[in-house]
Amino acid sequence: MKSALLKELENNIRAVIARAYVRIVGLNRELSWIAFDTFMPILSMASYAFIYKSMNANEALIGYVILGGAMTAFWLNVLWGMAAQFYWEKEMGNLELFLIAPLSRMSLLAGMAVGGMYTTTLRSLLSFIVGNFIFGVYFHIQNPLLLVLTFILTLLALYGMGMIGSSLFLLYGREAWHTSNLLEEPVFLLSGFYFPVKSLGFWAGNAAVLIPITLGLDAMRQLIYGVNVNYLLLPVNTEIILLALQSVLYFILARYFLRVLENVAKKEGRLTLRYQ
Amino acid sequence: MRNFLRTVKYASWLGWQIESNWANPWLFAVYSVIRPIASSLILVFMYYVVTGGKTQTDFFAFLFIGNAVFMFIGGVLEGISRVIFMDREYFEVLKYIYMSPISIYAYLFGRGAARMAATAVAVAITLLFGKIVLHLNISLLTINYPELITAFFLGIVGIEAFGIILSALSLVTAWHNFSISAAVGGVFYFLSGVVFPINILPPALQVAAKLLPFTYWIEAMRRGLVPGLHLNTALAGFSNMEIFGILAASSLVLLAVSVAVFSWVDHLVRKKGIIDMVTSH
Repeated sequence: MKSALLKELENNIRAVIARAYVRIVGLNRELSWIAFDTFMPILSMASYAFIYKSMNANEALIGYVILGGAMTAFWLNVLWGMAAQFYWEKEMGNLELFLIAPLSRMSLLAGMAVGGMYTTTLRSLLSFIVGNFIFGVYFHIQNPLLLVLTFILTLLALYGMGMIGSSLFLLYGREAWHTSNLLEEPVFLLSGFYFPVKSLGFWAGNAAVLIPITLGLDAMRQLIYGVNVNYLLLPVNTEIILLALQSVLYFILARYFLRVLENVAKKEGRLTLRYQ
Repeated sequence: MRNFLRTVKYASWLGWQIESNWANPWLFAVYSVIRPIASSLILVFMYYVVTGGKTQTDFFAFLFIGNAVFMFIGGVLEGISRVIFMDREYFEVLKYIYMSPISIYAYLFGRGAARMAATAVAVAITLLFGKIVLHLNISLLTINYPELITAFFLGIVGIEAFGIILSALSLVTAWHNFSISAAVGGVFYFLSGVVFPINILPPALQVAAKLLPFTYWIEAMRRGLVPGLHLNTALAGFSNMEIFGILAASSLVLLAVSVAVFSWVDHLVRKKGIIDMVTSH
């Protein structure tokens, strides 16, 4: 006979797989994403790349735009596919079903994260390859394992941050939705999606490292396009250590905030409130 | 006509309420400022990385003004086309709007006007920020107001008309095409000479850029705001009269096409019984 703990673990793993399954299967059923989710990032990255081209900028900067443009999909997925997901679930009436199910909220979110990471990685990789092909940017990856590690740590920390964001949606409605909307461009700016984040200056640049994608982008740019001291924010090893710490910290904080805000939402009767 | 204008007026008011009443006015004002400023600052830092920050150049004015003015295209297209998805599937009121004795075309036009008003505030703040903080080459004394106002209204008619064409497409498509306006907006951002002169594009794309009406609108707005702007763009050889002529003609064509397309799709969705279809669950 299975112990209660083992059974609970099994239930939660099944919840992770089930929630991820919806996203992965959904991707295969609706293939219009290839047009929208690849074409759109390429158009915006092309616009930014042509700005650099029209200023005769260093070719590395065009590479930075391509990687940044490909990574925008992850930030948007974290904002809308993770953080704001509870808002949509609430509006559609699924949230109460999730809450009465005998499983951890973290498992649901982990399932969303796994599904989101899979689908978004495919989209980003396609944008990255097509972008580099169109603009003929040369890159040489010397340490692919370190690159993969950096990428995975970036995603772990980023989706941990998304889980913290999702806790807000248990309590708030349109305010949180608008906050997600608001966080698109400022994070593109602060994390240096289209330019080296070092140019923001010492204080803003270092404050921006609280957003995992800032560190991830800077480290991956160094690993893909080579180290350029003019654009370097921190050494790769330091950035990897910080990302590992953020992965753990954001996960713990997400767990805490989900518990606290769910209780507040229950007390104030906001969990099932639509159109708020 | 009176009924049409009244519908536009109340649809605008409704749109404004939906845009703004989720927060107190101060918070909404902060929200309205942060996003456009951040979007402009991305370009400013890109420019700064390459040039070291000389902002009183024609290229910087070209880049900054183009991006600011483009907010109207992005904002209005998104605003109008998403009305259908939101009213149909989120608020589930589209069928009631259809039942009421108003023109749906006027309703959509009004909703777009609300978005335009919100965007106008953002554009004004962005330009003010550019002038005060970045010392942008723009002055209230040198703006060519008649040209600017004429260009603005001619362009807005075209943008609203194009938004209504997207709305018509939204009427027959499912929720997952929610981002259709962003995709179309992305094409215009890339091809309309918004942030770089179109003469650096490959020749085939330059031809495509010159076929887009908003290329001429962005150029006309720039010429109105900074009459002395000298930059080697593919439109530099066009006189103001030519730019305005093309703009007026393209806006009229877009308006006529939008009326025709919307009437046809409107007939189609009534016939198929899909006005109130719900595809988001």
